[in-house]
Amino acid sequence: MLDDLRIERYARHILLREVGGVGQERILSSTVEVEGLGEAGCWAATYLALAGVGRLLLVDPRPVPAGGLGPLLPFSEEGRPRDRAAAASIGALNPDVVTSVGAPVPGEMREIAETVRLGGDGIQGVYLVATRGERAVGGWIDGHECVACVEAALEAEDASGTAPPAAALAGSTAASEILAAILQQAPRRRGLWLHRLGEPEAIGACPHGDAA
Amino acid sequence: MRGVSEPARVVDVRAHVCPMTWVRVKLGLEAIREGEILEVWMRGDEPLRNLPRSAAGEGHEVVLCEPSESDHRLLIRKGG
Repeated sequence: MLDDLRIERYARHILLREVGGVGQERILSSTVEVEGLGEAGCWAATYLALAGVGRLLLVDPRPVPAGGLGPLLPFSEEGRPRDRAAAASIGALNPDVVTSVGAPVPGEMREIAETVRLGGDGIQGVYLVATRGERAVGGWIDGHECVACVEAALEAEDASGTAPPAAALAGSTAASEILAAILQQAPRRRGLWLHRLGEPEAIGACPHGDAA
Repeated sequence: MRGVSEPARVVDVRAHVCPMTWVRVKLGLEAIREGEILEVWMRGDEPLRNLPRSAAGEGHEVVLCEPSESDHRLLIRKGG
């Protein structure tokens, strides 16, 4: 699987002790679902694509807003379904990544506009992150996904502004945790955390489920 | 059965430069079992300086480093 071209492409990953050639092959053969292509979801999908995740299932039929959004949805795609537009951008980012567009899963997650949910084959649990303004709430959640918790944490804050840095950090953190799971490493941030453009602050386990 | 220093695999990085030299060696080490020997052929000062150090830094044993005027030979025993 790691031919000369891919060795060149992923050389910096192979150098990492946590990845190596075996880990990169594992990433290349993995499947990750990204549901929700707001700012954070676009960043998460970008990092996963650049890492070489073999198959990305994208789910978000909402239209690309005027002016575009994040690194994957250019303004020229305005009005097109976000998942289809993102799939086109990812194809240009990394030809190793096969993208497909899925139907939205009915559920409470759709109630929050800027939420991304990540999971995949062989990954136990999901990574759920929601952003609003300069705050992001997320975490690795085992066995269930508690939108109520992330929403409550966001509501507890005074949401204002639309600055994207928290979303970019949240998206990259979520992608990192999913890659760690693919590489069979323990999640670094289990449970919920709140990010206010500084170090993420742990806000404990979800009281509604069994997150550690 | 192989001798004590008989390589299980040979990697030639003479056409490569840093960091691809270590990338290729690292992939070579991943492809052999613990305790087996990887033979590396390299050229120039850079790999001569860096590859033995990188190998030792990741827990492998440098069994032999044989510089010459042109091509150098390195034997690495894979660590655990």
